[in-house]
Amino acid sequence: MQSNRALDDNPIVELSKRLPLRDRTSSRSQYSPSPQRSLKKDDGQSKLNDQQQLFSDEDSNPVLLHRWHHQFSILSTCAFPNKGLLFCGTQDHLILVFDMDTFERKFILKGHTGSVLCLTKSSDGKFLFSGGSDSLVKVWDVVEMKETHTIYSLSDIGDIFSLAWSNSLNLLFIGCQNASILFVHLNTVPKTDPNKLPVNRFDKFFDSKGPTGATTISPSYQKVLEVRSRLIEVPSSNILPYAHNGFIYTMKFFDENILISGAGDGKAKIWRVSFQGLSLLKQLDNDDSILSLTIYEQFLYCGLSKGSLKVWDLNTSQQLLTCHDLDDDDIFGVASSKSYIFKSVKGEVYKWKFGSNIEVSWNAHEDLILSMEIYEKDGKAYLVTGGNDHSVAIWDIDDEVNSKNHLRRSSIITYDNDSMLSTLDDLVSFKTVSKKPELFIDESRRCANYLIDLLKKFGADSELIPVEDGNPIVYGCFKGHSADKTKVPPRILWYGHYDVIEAEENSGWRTDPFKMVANDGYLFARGVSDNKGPTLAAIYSVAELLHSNQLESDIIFLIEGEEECGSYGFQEAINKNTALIGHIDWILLSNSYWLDESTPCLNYGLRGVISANVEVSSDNPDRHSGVDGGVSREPTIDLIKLLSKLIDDEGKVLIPNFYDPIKPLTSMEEKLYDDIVKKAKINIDRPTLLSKWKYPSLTVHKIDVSGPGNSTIIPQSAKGSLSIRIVPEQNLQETKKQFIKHLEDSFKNIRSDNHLTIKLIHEAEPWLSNPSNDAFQILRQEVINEWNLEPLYIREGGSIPSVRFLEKILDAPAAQIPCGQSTDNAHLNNEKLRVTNLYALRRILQNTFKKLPKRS
Amino acid sequence: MFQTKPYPILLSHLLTRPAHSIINQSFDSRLRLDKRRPINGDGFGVGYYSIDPELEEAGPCVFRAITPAWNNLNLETLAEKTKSNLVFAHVRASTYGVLSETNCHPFTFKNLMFMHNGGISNFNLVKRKLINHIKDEYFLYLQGSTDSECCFALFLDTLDKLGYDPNEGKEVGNDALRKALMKTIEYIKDWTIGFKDPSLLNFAVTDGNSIIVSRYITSKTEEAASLHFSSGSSFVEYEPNQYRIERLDRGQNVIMVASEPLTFERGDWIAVPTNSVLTIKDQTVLLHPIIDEYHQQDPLYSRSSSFAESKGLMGSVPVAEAPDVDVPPLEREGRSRSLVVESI
Repeated sequence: MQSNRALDDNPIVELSKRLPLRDRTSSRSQYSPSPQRSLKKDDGQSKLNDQQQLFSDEDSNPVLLHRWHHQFSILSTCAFPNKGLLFCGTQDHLILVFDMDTFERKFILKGHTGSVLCLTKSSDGKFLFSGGSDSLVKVWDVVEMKETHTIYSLSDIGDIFSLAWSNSLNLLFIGCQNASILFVHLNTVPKTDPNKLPVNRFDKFFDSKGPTGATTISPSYQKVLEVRSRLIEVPSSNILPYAHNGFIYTMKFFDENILISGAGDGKAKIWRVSFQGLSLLKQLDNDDSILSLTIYEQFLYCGLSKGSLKVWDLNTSQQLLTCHDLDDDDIFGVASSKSYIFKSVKGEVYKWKFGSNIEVSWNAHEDLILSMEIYEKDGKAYLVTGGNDHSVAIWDIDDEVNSKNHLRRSSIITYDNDSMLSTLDDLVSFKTVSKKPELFIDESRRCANYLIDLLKKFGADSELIPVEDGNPIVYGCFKGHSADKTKVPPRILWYGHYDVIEAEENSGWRTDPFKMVANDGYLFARGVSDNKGPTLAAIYSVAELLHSNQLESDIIFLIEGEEECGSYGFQEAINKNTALIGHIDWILLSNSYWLDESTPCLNYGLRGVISANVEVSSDNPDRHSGVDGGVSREPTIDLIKLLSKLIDDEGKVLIPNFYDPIKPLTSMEEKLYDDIVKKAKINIDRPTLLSKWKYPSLTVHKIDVSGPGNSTIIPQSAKGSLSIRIVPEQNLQETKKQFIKHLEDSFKNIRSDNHLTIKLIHEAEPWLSNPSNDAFQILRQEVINEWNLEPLYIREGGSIPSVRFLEKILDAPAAQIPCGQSTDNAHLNNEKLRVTNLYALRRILQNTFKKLPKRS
Repeated sequence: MFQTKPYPILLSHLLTRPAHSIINQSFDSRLRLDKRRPINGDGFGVGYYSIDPELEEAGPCVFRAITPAWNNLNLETLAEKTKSNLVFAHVRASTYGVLSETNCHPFTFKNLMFMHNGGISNFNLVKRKLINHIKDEYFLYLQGSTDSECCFALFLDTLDKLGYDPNEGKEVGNDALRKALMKTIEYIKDWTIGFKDPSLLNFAVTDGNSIIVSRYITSKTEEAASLHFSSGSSFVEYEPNQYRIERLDRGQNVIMVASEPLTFERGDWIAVPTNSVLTIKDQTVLLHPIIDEYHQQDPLYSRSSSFAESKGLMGSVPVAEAPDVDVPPLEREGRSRSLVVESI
């Protein structure tokens, strides 16, 4: 059986709370099943031949490499790809060892007296650890293929569901049914008396006598009289009782010293491990029992009972996604490879990729899949599944694991421009489209992580600031060292963003938008100019200063991931972290462009914005105009009437007092504008510039109606999307109030029985700085040195919501230096940045960071 | 007590057939350990929730009798013809109160059901405090004369005061049930401070969906009355009267909690730690410690049972016998499927 289905068809992808808040729409890509092709394997034994149908979707082709059969269920697996061996724990107390090259069964390891529930290995690949329903852990030397240790506890721990081995500490962690975690060092002094083993210990009940004076013994009971391996008793100090409040089903190491355990109580607990044991760092609540978990990069995937798969970002402890299976079936296994996430539900494996809405599933076992893992061999990834149909299977999941890995790039630190370009190449390859978290949330997280690593590599203190329901903010702080120890260093904040506007190849892009191409002196890729390039220039300029002992100021970086979504959540996150940011003297940014192709600019003003949706709706449903036309007032006509009350015939905004706060043009301003008109190599006059920068404007972006939209329908509702760009003299709150009141009054005046709803989508404060302050003066001087040209002082019609906010909360003035040219195509197809401009910005900033003094 | 999903179980698989079924426990109690009288012959009770949704409304069905469980033909026949997803069963050896049906467990109130194994020491000194503490309606609910029923009234009152009115007959949820039971234990603990003898407070309560069971003693050194649990994918009869729990996956379709294991399969049962609470929530077992002055930090601390022995409440522990080395080398766990195959 096979099924390919779009995610919105059956399993629901919830974007925890965020969709309604942000008015984001998930993509509704429909999947049409491709012709099925079936592949027969020459495996006479296989009962599943009929079901070995594979997929023609070339992105996802799980090919069954081999299936082994046994007489009892396969409960656990552990692959040793370097040795070419696969170990399988069985219900009948055995560990089967298969050769993955010849597919022969090579050994059977006997030692347990109960089902072998879990297997794990030491990272050097020398030892295998097995845990069972006999409350014992066995250690196996996989070179000699023999048992070396038997580990037991005097407490009644029940089944052993999970094991994890710490290579750095040489400690084995044991997750038990009685909710405790035990840990043990293999060199512990051995015991000699096997009578303390759980099966041999005196038990008040099982060794009690009945009325006849005889003990009742189950027909299958047998004492263990001799233990052939080193006998280790877990000391009392190595038992953490109630580590959870449920059975500890799964444990994995995140890195050397961070262990993550998942249990029946629904908690994923993050522990720091040391020789002293475990100390709890954090816990993530998943509501339902955690049956399985896997970690890839910084993401934690929890497979839960009742059908949910939850994805967490371990850097920020935020829940990113919940994927729910509508049948509510337990997810017994999860595994992840470089590109895919696999989950097992009953006998089926689902293969899913972040960013593709398509989920592929195939029937891997006839009954339940009890264990699942991924191993890598020769640069490829394979999936192992074991089930209670008494079989274990290996699948080629067609995933190249050795392709470019961002986080493991060269460890050699270089500061030159070549290194900057190759880093930018990495940076733009992350598809950090903040408007589509359902597709790119993992890319954004990876990019934030990459930036953290980069800042740390360059010597900054760096961490992620979590944003509720949003991509995190990257914080970095380079500490300056002044020769004069008594001097308090100036502190400069750089604001940038790593998120980008969406881009699709074949939609006007000449190249892959997420692959940087260098042509004729330009770099082409989404984000090169807006804002990854300029941000990187700032990072490199500071890094080089620090490296050459010339950094005397503290430079703080705040690089957010939601700028293109109106800096969603930025203010709340920064408000919570003002102590981390500390005192700031200046704020610098480079998130705009020159006015033309050749004249450098400095930007001292931005307009603000108020965006809103205005909807007129009727109590009646969508109707037919032939049947009901003329009966009542229609929402669409009402909306058009309403919108017509916003602007007069000359294009002036009709909101009362709208223009009142705007001051007349001063002679100094006049001079600035004339200067621009004279110098800028674009065809523009003063009135146009004034309209763009100095005066506010109102735009209707879109009008939508409900219903199918054909020409016989009276829509039940009509919705208009509009925005006002406001200027610094205007008060944002006041203007907003006036705007809403004007709409409501106007609607009252048209006396319709329909209803008006106004929803504010987004707002941003305008910004106007003093172009004669130190920051602008130093930037001006550095621009002149770099370009031999006097920069133009410009304002912009667009908005950057965070600038005015940062100025206010940090009580520091901001200055903006545009990096690229007017033709950069930010937000458009074929975004580009001239290499010269990037290098120039880096030099200008380097000198500015050196010279910018403390604010007096 | 017992919970199973999605398939209900025939009561006889729990009550009458297994090697150490509740009927057998009534005349062959191993952990009462009273050599002279290892018998729970002072009546019995069975409570279960109907699988018919129409009958669910009125709460559980309870069948109680003052005859010893081994002597009750009705129990045998009813057990063979009744299925349920959630069953409580109790055999009584009275510690307090006379032999009467109103004194037999389990007790019910609307959809709630409650049992007690143990006793409150010097209950005559506590009873007045308890009665004064609870609302009239729960005082008037009392029909029998046992400390156990008073404990249930106290539990109902505690639940009420936490904001969950038991009269509504609604599912309370595992968190509130556990909170109310732990609070009930805390009241009794506080009212019995200074008494020479500890109180044994193994309670079980359910709202028809979640089950909470405590294993508790008001002592730091003595052991509480026994409590075991077992969970797995199914409870199978592999030979006549020989049952075992099958554990193939992490699902817990069958969960059993019992003062004494129902079978002699050693690996199938695990002891609930003394002074802790076991919760069955959505077919998942949770364990919470009760942390108060009687909590023991050391997980390997061995509590003594000398108090119970000296009072004659529990007999002395039988000494282990040397194992019979000639036992045929069968799979000890009894969980291998080969045995099933052989028996077919």
